[in-house]
Amino acid sequence: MTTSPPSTPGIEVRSLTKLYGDFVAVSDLSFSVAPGEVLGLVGPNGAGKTTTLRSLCGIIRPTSGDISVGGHDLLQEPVKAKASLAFIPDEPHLFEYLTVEEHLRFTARVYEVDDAAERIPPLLHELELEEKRRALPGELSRGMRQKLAIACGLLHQPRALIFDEPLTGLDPAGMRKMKATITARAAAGSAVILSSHLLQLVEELCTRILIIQNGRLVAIGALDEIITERPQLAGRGLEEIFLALTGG
Amino acid sequence: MIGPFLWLTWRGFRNRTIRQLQRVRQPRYAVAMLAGLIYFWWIFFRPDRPRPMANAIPGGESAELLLTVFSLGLALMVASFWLLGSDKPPLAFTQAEVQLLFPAPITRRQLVELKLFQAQLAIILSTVVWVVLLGRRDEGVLQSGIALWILFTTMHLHRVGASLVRTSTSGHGVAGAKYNRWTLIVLGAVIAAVLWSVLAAYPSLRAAANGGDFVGALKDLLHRPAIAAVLFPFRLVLAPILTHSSMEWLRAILPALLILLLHVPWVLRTDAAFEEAAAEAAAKRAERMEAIRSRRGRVRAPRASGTRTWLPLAPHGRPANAIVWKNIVAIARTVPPSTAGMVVAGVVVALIAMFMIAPNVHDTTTVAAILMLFGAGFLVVAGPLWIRNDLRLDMLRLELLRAYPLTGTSIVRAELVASTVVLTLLQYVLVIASYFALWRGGPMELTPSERTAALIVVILVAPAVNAANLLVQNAAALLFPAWVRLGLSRPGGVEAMGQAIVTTFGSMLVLAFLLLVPAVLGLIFGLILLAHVGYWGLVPGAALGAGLVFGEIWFITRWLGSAFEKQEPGFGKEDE
Repeated sequence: MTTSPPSTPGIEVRSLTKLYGDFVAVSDLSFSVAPGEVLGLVGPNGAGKTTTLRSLCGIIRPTSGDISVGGHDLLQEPVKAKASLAFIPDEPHLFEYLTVEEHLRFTARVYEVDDAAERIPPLLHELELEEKRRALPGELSRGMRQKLAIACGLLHQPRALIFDEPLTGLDPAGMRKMKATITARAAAGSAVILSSHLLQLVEELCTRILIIQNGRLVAIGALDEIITERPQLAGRGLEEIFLALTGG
Repeated sequence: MIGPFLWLTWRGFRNRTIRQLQRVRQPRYAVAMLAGLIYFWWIFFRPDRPRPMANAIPGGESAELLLTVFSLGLALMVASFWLLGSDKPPLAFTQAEVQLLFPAPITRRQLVELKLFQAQLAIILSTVVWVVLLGRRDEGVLQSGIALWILFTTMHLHRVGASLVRTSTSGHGVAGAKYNRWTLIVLGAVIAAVLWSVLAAYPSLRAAANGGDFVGALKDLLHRPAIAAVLFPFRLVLAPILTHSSMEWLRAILPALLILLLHVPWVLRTDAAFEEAAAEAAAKRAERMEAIRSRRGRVRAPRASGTRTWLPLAPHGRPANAIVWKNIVAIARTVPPSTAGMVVAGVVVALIAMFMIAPNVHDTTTVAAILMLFGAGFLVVAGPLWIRNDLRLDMLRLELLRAYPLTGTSIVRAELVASTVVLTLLQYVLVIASYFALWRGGPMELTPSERTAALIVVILVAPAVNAANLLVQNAAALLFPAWVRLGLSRPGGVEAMGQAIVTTFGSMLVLAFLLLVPAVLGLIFGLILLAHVGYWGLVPGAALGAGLVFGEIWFITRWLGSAFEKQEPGFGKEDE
């Protein structure tokens, strides 16, 4: 794992708070993800991970706080901020009446991808969707649907990528490719947030880790930084550290 | 095995009902429930409601005619099962049933029995509703109920059987046809009998249409031996509903029950045939693959097949236009094939009937033009409820839409444009076709120039009225998502009906408010010009009215756009 995030963040979150009535889903959360960095977002069920991710994508409006994506404020310049971003949820949301290829053409037009005709074929090949390009989502397996959602997310080469449980539904080969894709996108300069309960995956891919519980930040940093701040955790793996910090 | 199925069906019904009653604690559902109950009372229990079968059913020739007409209607309905099929696959199992019951130690036959058993809940409810609607009294209630239950159950079983045979034959080719050969032979015989009788009677029908006794000719056709034989089972099933005395009912009920009982083994056998045909077709496919593999050493990758794009999306342009494109594609792919088939069949039947009945071409085109104008007018009212390729379809994908780099206003406007375009184009086709059909004049005393002016008025006004109407529907979906039917599913229950009534009433009020000022101003302007330049003066009036409506829509969509940006996904969860 590497340390010290660069100074120009791809994603920057300051004092993010989200309330549902009296319920505090996320409270005063601040962090940043630099280009080329993969931040692992982990926390127990109900910790506020999905609320955080949905806020970062502009799907829900935060109660207070600032979010910036690719240098654009999500509230002030939502269109520019969203154009720099891709969100790949754990449950793929697709239009049941558009084919695989049509999903990509539609996404290209919405994100104003000029060279979509050149980008689509290699993407279909990379995600093994070539033979299914005229299939409707209802004709695809769970894994294929997930791959289509990933293809739509990668098509416009976003500066910030947000994955929520990206390996759900993928076969072993698909998982390996997915991990390689995440690493490659980060190496190409994208800021990546990866939320998962698979702590081995987080440990393997992420340069830094953000642990939240009850909507609050518990720990952030590279694994060795977290351990340095808490000497009693020395010699333990992420799973044990996670359990120790969240009281699991 | 019936015990667990009974328990499952009962608990499902009970839990759904309790859930619906619990929701009534929320004011919006309480109002909807009240509206639904008032509607039910008005339809079923108001003192002055019509009771078509409260008194004795007519006997003699009238009863015979009634039975013949109903048999024909039932036969046409059954024909639609075979010709048009169903929107749903036969015996559609829910996801939970597939996951929990398919791996359980239950035979396929028992699963089919479960589905047939589950359908009884809806059938019994329909029976109760129809018994109340028909309004028979005393012992007639029970007799009527049993007769209707036999009719509905037989129809349901026939529909399932027909769907299984269709799916098996179209999906499994020769194997499907082989396993359903007896059904197909009977079906072929019925089709041949009907065609032969119609062809034999055609000269007399044609002659009757040109000034003769058409009803008499039609009666003769229905009483031809082949047609009478085809209609005989339908008469047997319907006969108990139209009996006059308990004795007569007792005599009629046994043959009807026999027809029902014959359907049960037929459906079970058809399902078994479906399974065997599927297995045989799969085995043959595997053999073919093996043969190719041994010949070539490898299997050629299958070519991409499936749904093709019929409407191209330009690679460049305004991003929001992609949503318009997506929604127009959606309308073609979400219309159930049976609906499209029914529309086509209806048009074909109407055309054939018109050419048979109308004595000359001029009258035929006039009738066609009037029908098309009526259709275009009907679409103004019903179109926005049928054409739903807008936020009413997309609100369920709100999470996805919200993540796109588009403003809320541009999304709302694109959604509105999509359904407006489809609806308006349909009306344009009908209106322009009727314009040309009436080229040589029609029932109204209008000159060609005046008819052209009227056409342009319609062309100007239609998109504005449609857009306003659809704006109201979309605003309701966005602002009150729990009150509007979203997606393609249809919610059930009294409060769902009440919600529909309240929403429809509210929508009509808002629409009237939206259209009032533009309509009055456009009409005044048009009438002033009419006095000076004739019918063409209405055109600027229509343009003014349409322009004002579009102006209103422009401002309202801006406001709705900001509402869209504030709307959070998950609105429906508490309602599910």
